[in-house]
Amino acid sequence: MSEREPSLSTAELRAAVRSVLREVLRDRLPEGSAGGLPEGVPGSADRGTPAPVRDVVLRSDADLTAFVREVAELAEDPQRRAALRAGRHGFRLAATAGAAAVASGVLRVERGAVTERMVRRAADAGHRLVVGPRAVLTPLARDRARSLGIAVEKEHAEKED
Amino acid sequence: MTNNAIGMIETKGYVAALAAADAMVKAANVTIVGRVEVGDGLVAVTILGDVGAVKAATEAGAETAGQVGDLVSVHVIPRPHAELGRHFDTGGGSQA
Repeated sequence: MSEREPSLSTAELRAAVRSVLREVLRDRLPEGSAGGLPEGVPGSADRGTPAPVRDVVLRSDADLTAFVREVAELAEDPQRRAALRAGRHGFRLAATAGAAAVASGVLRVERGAVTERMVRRAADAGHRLVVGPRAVLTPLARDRARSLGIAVEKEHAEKED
Repeated sequence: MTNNAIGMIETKGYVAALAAADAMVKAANVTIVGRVEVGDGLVAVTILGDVGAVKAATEAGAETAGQVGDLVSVHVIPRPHAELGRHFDTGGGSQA
């Protein structure tokens, strides 16, 4: 078994997380409840209230381990465990590729458009936004940044002609 | 349709401008009123529509232009002055 996978695809990551989750949950669930919901959990009562979708960053093995640990903690709570088993606890892989790079709390965009979605994502993660000389902030993104109160810093090109 | 905003996207290269224009008219209820080539490969596309529609359209158009080619600038003018229409090709948007 290799210690470190050089690059995992999204499908492989999902499969890995799913198998680990299955093991963790099986260990923690009482006997006989594997087929259905554990007793004492109102299965239908909270079905209509989906948990908020959480963005998960999976870039390394450490990230994956941290995520699995977090899910194991979630499974301690019977209600959350039921939500996890029913697939009502939402997880979403955070986008880590593209022209935008995150480094120490700063979301930096080098080229192309800085969209409203990027501003919202930066605000959610508590990042500062730096717009490179060749990137352009759209009017909607500027409005959103102002309403969310997040700092947008525009870097100007060094040479002028 | 009340045309009380002008949206503009400028790209370097024709293809990015065309892709942006397509994304803009597909994203919101706006009309393309002009395409200006000022030289040096710069192409600007101008649209008209409601302020909200124009903002949404330029958002989509800018994202597409940035993916396809070089996005140079994006701008929205809400309620343009009537004087603009006399000197710029704004498709009558500044008359409203």
